[in-house]
Amino acid sequence: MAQKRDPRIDIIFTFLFALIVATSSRWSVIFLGLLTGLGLAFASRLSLKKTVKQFLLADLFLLMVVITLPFTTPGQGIARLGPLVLTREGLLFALFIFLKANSILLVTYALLGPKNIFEIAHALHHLKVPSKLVQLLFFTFRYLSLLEKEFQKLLEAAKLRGFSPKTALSSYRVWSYLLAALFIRSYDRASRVYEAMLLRGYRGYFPVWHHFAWQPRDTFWSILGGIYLIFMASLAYL
Amino acid sequence: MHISEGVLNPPVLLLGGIFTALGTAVGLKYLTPEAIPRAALLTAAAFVASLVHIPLGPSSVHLVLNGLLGLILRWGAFPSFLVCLFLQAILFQFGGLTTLGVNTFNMAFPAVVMAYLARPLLNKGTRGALVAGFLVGSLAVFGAGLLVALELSFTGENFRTAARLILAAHLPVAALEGVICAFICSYLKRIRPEILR
Repeated sequence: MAQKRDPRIDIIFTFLFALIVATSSRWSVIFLGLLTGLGLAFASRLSLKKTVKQFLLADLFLLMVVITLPFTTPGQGIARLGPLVLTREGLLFALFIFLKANSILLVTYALLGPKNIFEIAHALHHLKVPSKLVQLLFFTFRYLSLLEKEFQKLLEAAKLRGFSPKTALSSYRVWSYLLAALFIRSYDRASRVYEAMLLRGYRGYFPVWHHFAWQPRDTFWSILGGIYLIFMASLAYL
Repeated sequence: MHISEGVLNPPVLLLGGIFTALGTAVGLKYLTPEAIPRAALLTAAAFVASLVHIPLGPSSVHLVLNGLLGLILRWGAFPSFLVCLFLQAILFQFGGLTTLGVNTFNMAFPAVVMAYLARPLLNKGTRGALVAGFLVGSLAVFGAGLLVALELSFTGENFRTAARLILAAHLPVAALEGVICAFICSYLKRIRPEILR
């Protein structure tokens, strides 16, 4: 813990970076953002192959936008595909949106991805995010993998009794009952969790035991990050 | 479907952020200490459900279940989806931080509206729950798709084609959600009616 940078710096930096890049319409900002993202991804030793696969293939929404833009943006036509005209401006605009989205994703992935959600929740608490919201985040993540296992167990049990997933109303009925069982179990577990918390003296908030100790290193990173963000903002808006 | 980073223009992002902040404030006001673990575990359950791929014709789709969460949590759907989408942005890079407001609004708003509209039907026995479940499940997803399409159209003339494609992609999912949500609601109504109260 002592060797790490204060996670609040990473959260604030990522958010401001995303805001500046997302609202900018200049190539210079996108290029610098992309370089920053690649640099940070490299520095945090992310696997390049996994990163590229996760980014390029995962986002159906971005894909639909990027595929249609070259044909719908007015400009100088460079190719014809049946009734569709591919324009130079459209192609550039699609590339612009694509790189913009990916530079933000890279920075988020590099700075927040390797962090534990509990660490992020703790940092959000110290950033004065409403306590109820932080508790909601904490509990949701705490029980995520547990409920996932529970659902896999339900599904496996159903398959052992002859359930085979297919496109049919009878199959959807079984899916629904499995999901309903998952929701009932979550509901009941929540009551038990709450009762156990009451027995331990819960009064609607989490007393925080661990506090961040600001280190000289944190001052260094905040100043560096601040200068970078001011530079980016002036590049984007001036 | 989640809107990714860097596509929408600033006014749309800002409006989404403001509406989600308001909805979340209302939702948090109703969350008593007792309701927090419940909302959290139901959010986790919806998250797990969204990872399940359900076969649909030659392909498969994953569920959203925003309508169901709206029926159970009402305004709590706003903080619930905010948390859900934040986790998806950090863990899987779906959606993003700047689009958190817009995406939460797209999911939670139609869900809350439909949940309030369908409430009278829900109290009319198992058949009422079946119909209410279908309407809420399908229309909450369709509403989410419609909002995504509208936001894209506001961003620029050249985004209209993508908007139409995305709305069309929501149609089969909406139908499937309707069926699944109808079955879930009638089941809950029979076995554990207090969950839908």
